[in-house]
Amino acid sequence: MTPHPSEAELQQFALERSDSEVSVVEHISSCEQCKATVTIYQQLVLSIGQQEKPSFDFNLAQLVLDQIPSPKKSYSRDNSIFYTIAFVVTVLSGVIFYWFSEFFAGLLLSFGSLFMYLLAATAMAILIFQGLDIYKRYQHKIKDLDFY
Amino acid sequence: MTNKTDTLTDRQLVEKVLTGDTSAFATIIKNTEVLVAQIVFKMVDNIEDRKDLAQDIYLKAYKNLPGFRFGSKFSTWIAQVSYNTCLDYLRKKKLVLQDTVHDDGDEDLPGINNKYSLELNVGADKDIFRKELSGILKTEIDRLPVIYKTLITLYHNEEMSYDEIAQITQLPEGTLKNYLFRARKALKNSLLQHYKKEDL
Repeated sequence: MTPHPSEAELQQFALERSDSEVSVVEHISSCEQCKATVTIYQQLVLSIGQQEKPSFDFNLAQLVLDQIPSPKKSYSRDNSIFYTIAFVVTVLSGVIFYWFSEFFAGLLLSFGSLFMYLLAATAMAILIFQGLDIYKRYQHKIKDLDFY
Repeated sequence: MTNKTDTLTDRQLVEKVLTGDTSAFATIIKNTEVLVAQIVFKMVDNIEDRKDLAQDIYLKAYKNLPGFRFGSKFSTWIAQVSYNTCLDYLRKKKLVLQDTVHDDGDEDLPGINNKYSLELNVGADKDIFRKELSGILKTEIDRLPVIYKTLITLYHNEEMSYDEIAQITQLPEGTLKNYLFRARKALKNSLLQHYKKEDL
């Protein structure tokens, strides 16, 4: 008779017989002692698989949600009222500018170049502040991406 | 009554959480808390600490959710967060992850194998035997070093693959297989010792 397979080979046979070498399979089929060890391992693994899974005896979801800061309300989606108002305002503005175009043209000419420069400077300042804000938000999101 | 987020996939749930839907995060917790409990219960003995750790795990997961890129299964990722959180706890408490297992040589137990096998196969009441075995095994698993009982639970009870467990624990696959081998051998020897003592 061939020597007894190692403990690792017996475990291997118990877990996945098809992965075992032919010599191991042949030995086990004719050796009562090894067969018994294999049966113990199979029973052991089966029993571990059937062990009752533990569970928390408290409402974990509620406890966690209570500690999560409430999210900012998002207006980006499904906000038909916002889009309707925006549409109405745009159409009204267009109609007003169309009807009073001559009046507005005269008004702009009467203000002169100083007013135009002020207008351009204000627009630039707003753009710069918006750019800075976008950059800050970008940095904040990159920081969030740090895992652990 | 089913929640509207109950039928969503992990990816859809994560996307919903990222748009601020906290009910989707509650669904994520419900879907994964059994796995988290398995890890926490195996790695931490103190009941109060388990409660704090479970919350800590999900708060960490919530914070790091924007960084999750679905490079692995979502459950594997949550399990990894759980394992690392428990590992940090053990380090802080100066508790040992891997302790030595008293390895009783098989040759110390002559003739036990055959008798045990007989009981398994032709025992009068298999159900009683299985219940008894399950109880003994539960106690013996709890006696194993933390890393062994965690691995054996993930592999045999949660039916995770070597690859998934390696991702969770960051252990090389060879080490993982070695630990599992030792854990099974230790459990087998403990069972044999137990039945030997009963016979005396």
